[in-house]
Amino acid sequence: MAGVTQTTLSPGKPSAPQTAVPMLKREDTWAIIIGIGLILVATLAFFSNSLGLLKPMAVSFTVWTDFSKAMNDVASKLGGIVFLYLFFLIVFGFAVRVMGVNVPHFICGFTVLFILSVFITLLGINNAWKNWMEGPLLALGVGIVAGNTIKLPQWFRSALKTEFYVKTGIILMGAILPFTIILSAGPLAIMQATIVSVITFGSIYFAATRLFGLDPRFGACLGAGGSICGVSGAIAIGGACRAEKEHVSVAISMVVIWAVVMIFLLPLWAKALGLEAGPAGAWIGTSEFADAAGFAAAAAVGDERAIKTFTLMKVVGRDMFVGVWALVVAFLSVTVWERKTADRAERVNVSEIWNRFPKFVIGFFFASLFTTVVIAMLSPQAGAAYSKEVLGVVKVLRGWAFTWTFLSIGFTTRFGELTRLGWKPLAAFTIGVLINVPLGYWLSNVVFASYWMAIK
Amino acid sequence: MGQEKTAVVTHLTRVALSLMPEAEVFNELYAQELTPDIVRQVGKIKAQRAERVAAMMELMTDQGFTFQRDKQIIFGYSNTIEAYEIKRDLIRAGFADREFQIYLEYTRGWGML
Repeated sequence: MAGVTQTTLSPGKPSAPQTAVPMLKREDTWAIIIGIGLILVATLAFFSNSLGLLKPMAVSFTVWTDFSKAMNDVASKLGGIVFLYLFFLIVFGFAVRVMGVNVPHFICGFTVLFILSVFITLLGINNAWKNWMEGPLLALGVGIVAGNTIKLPQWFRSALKTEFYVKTGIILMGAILPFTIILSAGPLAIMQATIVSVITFGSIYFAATRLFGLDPRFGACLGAGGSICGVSGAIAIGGACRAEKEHVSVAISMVVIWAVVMIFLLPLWAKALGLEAGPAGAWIGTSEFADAAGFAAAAAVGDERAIKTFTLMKVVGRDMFVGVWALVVAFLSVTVWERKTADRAERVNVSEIWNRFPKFVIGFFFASLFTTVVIAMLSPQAGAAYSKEVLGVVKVLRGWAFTWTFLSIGFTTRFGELTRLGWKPLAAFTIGVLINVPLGYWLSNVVFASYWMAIK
Repeated sequence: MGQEKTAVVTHLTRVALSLMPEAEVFNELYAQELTPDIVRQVGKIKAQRAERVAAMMELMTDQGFTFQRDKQIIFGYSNTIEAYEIKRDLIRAGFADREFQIYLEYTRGWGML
């Protein structure tokens, strides 16, 4: 998740190379600004008794069976819907302008995305099917079908910023997750995630190199994609060990395929096995490959506790440590794989840890700490009011950010554009999946089940 | 189907060439009694290092790198040459691992989760 602005290769001869992306042009930076900004504004509004001005924006619909009632619900909240649309159009629009995206394209694209998200959200809470086709899966399914059958216009593609929306959502999620829970459950999440990550990375790496004879750097990229944090992990480790671009491409393609498959499978298995929400979310946190996909899977469980435990496991337990993994792999690559002693090998900078660290996680922790401190400083009644009103608004807005994420995942997952895989990397990665999923299940639902069930 | 094909991933290879030799070299000299000859030796070492950097820049220029300076470090950038390629070429040309530092940043292509 050390996200930088996505780029499309220009045909023909490349122009002057782009240098490293400045901090102000990064998605992480703007996700932090928008996420923390929202939380601060809502807090200030609470203390100035003007939260009523923001509340209409926190649009949520009522479960329906009668379509006309659903339409009445929308009509009664139309002002809020427009407010929500305009608010995020302006803040996202400003951010993407700084990031260098075509703003008129983004405005058109986001408008369509927003309308679709309202429609999908409404459809997803129909009483007839909301228990077996959760909103996230519906958003994903619609997006995948449309994205793989229709030629999406460039202006629409501009607004499909999966990483940007999910990072903003994660930071808003931080506000809802008390810092005390992060402190108490964080160490367990880190321990469980480390066990699964190390075993999964090891199995993929050794399968890739020993069984299938692949290059160690290739094995490391596959391992990172399957164990640390998906595409971001593959990119970070690929950069740290100077893997070939083709190898990173294959690893990313593998992650995308399996991540999308797991969005459907993991919640399905969780429901079929009758798992409690907390352990189910933790399982998804160890066995999903990407944050965006994982939030879709956790949301599909249909219980807020699953989202909380997923966040703890994935963001706190795994994402945070990608920088450490990058440093270790960088050192391995110049000493072990290049067979050079430490004093003769190319220098490896400890700054790799910070360079590869997903900066949006800082926003997540800050949001959590901020709201926890605010509540702690208030009287019990005022604290309860703050939780209900301010965090209630933040929670709804988080939901919208995730809905845009899920739609974007669907529309952007174009299987035909993924790199030709080859059976060896696929086999190595699959071996990792076959170890990761049962191990994650066992740790989340047997060994540490009581801890995860305690997360409310 | 029939979408414009975008790269799964793009890359930026950055090679850092320090104009200053490693500190240990100067430490050894400055540990001795400071004389004009010591200062001349320091100047020679710096000049040799600059020559090495220029030679590496020539090799990299042939590969299409462009350059920027940040204080005492020259950074070479390329979106086309991969990190392992430039490292291989620098080693083959007789430069040691410790004479340069390579950074590689990958950026996910549009739509890659």
